[in-house]
Amino acid sequence: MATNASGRQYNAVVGIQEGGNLAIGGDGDLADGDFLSSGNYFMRMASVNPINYDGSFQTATVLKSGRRTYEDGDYIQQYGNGVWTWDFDYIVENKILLESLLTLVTEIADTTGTITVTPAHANASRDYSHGVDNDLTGIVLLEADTVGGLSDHDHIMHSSILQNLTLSMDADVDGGRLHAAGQFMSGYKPIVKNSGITGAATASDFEKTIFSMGTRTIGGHATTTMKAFSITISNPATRVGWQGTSGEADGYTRGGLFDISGSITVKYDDAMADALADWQGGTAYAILIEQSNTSFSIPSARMTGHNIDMADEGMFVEIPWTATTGAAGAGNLALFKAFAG
Amino acid sequence: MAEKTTKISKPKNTFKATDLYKRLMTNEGLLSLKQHESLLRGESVNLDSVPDKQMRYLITNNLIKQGE
Repeated sequence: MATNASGRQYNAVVGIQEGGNLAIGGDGDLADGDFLSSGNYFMRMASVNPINYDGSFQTATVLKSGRRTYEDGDYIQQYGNGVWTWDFDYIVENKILLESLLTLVTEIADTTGTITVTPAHANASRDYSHGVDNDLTGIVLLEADTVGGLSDHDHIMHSSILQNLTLSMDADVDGGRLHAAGQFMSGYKPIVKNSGITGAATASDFEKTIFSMGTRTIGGHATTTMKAFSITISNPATRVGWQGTSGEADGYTRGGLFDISGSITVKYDDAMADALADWQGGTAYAILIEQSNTSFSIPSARMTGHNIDMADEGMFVEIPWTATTGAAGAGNLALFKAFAG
Repeated sequence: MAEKTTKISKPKNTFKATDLYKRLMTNEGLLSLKQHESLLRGESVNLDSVPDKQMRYLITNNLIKQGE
């Protein structure tokens, strides 16, 4: 009789792919050294999502003449020339894992200090061709435990692109803890087998909350009462062509909009009521949210709304925004300060 | 006949950078490089030549304040 299994038997291990050992589109036969700087950390979440295969097929149904019913051959299905995705929502607890996610989405190799997203960086193109070693793709390993007969069914999604990353804090959600949510995409077939490896010991060394953000300046209004904020970094990729004999990608391009946008929800008081006029006047806001060793700065955030919530519990206003490079087009999109503990 | 024009000199507006300016403004934007560098040094700078859009941004966000 088969053994029952639970989703609790899977752990996610996520890290940057060490291109020197496993180049883009490599065999995915994992070893510890395939994770850059031994960064094979557990992404411990409330629940682990499976890899989504929906986009990995090209399908067509062609009803041939002389029939009004399908036969098996009418279903055309090519597996392998699409994309696979994996979504996550992580309550951040480990600093290095957060730094790895920031590297993968911003393409900034060193995210241990101040992370400055300059126009020159965001506008630059990088090589994601098949076989390239650029240390900018990720490995997602969904690792089964040994109970229940699933140990031969680890799921390995290698050479994957972190297309977007949302960093958010909400005073009403999970004690205000920082969430990191996003989506990995791969143009290479996930491998299902016993990976033979596991995650490294993962410290809970970064547990920031919204309540620790002592500096909250938005549009010149200091120490604003902030209920929530989120920042989404989007840096999408597209799989390119195919190579080999099974339709897998010939690498990627990252040519879409490099976008940083988000929203901030603050108390609607006299100062923040002025934001309506600033929005109408097209005045960009500078946003700075900071604790001494952690900060999120958007020097020139163009407001895209002004949504007042007239709740009995108190009035708040949500201000959605998009980061720009400023009036002269030469300013930084964003600065994130070192994510010390 | 040429039209007679009278030049009226506007009062000079000088401004100083706030700490926020020094943290967030890593380049001159629509200021001149000289104005930007003077602001970073904490000097009072005349910003009459700066386009309205940039001035509105700097003032609204408390990146500069009126200097003496």
